[in-house]
Amino acid sequence: MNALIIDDERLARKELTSLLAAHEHITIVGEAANADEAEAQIAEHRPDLIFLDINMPGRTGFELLESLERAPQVIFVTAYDEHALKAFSVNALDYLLKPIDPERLAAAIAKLDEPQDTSLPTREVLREHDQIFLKDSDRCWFVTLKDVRSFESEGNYVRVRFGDQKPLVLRSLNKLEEKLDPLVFFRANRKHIINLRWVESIEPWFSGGLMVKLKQTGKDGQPETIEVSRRQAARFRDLLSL
Amino acid sequence: MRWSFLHTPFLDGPRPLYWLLQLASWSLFVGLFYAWNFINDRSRADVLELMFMEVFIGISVSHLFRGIILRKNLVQLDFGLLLPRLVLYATLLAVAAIALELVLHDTLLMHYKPLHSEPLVSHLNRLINWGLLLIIWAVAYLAYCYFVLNRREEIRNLRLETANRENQLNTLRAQMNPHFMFNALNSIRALVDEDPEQAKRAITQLSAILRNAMASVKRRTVPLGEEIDIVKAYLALESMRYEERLRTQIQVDPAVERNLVPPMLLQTLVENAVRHGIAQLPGGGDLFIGAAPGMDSTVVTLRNSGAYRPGTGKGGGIGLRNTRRRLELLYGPSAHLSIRDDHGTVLTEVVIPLQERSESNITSTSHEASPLP
Repeated sequence: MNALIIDDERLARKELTSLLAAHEHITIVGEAANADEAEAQIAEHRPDLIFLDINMPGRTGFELLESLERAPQVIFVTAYDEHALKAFSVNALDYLLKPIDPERLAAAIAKLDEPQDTSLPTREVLREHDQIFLKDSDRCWFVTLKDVRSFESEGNYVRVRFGDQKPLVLRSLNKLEEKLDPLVFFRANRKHIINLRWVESIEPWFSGGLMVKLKQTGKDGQPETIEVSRRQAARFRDLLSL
Repeated sequence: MRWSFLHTPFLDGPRPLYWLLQLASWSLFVGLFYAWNFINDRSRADVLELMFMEVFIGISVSHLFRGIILRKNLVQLDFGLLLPRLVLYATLLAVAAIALELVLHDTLLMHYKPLHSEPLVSHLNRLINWGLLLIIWAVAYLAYCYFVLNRREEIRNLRLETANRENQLNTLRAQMNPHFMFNALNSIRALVDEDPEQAKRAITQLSAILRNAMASVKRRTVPLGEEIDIVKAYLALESMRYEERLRTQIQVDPAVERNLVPPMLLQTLVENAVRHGIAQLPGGGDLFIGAAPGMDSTVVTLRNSGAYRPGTGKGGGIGLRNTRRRLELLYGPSAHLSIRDDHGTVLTEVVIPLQERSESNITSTSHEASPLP
């Protein structure tokens, strides 16, 4: 498993490197001292895992994650940051406190998922099993794309629906559409992208459109429904008949 | 204390409980009194109007007594001063009581034998009765007041103690600067392998900082020289973390090394400069610390790379506000702290007077002080 260490302090990186020596299946492919370096290294090495310090000069660790299309698996490392700790505890994200306890490190590593199809060197599309990092004010999530039911455009933001969450994040729906796997994610209309795996039923709708019902009932007991515009309906039929 | 007591909600306005007790106790007393007279065959049984009248007079006069006790603040008096006053007021009120009795009795209850035709000795007798009764009433009421006040004082003391302790704890926590502390420990852990000698030095420096932070909670002022030593230890540790990114220069005029300054003040400012200034710059920056004599004061100057952005830090400028408050409390308006952008650097200037403000000044502006009697 390829790992990247991101921390602005050389000694902190060194400390983590020496701690990771005990874990043979983890190969450190690079080190970065700030978010910009990290971005370049991630693009170059495509690590499966990053160790990420939150407090860094320039952009913080969270800001770095938000700028990544596809989030690798992340283990946060921080000395003491009440805001970050709050964000972690809300969503049970894994984090390590400095100085790092070797046993906690081992436990965090043991919890990691096995890397998916590392054989593909460059993958331009986001697959179902890829995870993305989402941050809405104080809270943050790592979401695997197959769990996302729909993306809805709201001005410059996109509302992402998964589980019982629906955070609003600063993304563009058009950019997202280009990145998402077209076999799984379908642009139903101007405002929505839906995950085809979550489609429960399809009904004809006015003026040649379709009404798609998702396998999820909202709080009001009504299933989530999304209209497929007439222009997209033909493509939608083609896609499903495959 | 005196006036705040008057305005305490519990004793100030009449309460339902108070009126209930008044009614009950006076009714009980008058009832027993008349029953006693009846048993001893000294009066008739059909004296309900008389009893009503006596209860009414009792409640009115004793309520008046309560007003006097509160207005004249008898609760606060020593026993020696209290007793003659109680007797005086009780006598005056007893006169009022028998006068009221006379008027009410002879105008409203015409079918009884008029009181004004009674001999003088009977009036005197009733005067003494009322006086004694009112003194007993006042003693009971005062006892109740003492009880309430005592309990309230206890609660206040507990609150004060908690607030003090909380304040100390907060100060300590702020001065420990956990972010710095844990990062330093992490770096030391790495140094143990890389450079054991430096690791040992770092542990000593960290101990000095910890010891100083703990001690400073109890000290009002410390010599500037001591503060500078701690700042040097702190900067040595930060240099270990930031390495070539942190470049420091310290210039202290030997004339001011013995001048007294508030503990941790300089260190708080240096930490700010490192954390919000230099640590934010990927390429690092410079920090200059200077101290020189001023007009009856010590002038401390900090200059660091970066830009001053008030209120953007996570603390929202709390550290700075606290520092200003501490300066104000210790020295009054003659102390001064300014932070501003200056040619691409942040310039911090502190003027610390040599003289603390006098004790009387402190109490006159402090919120805790009690008003003069």
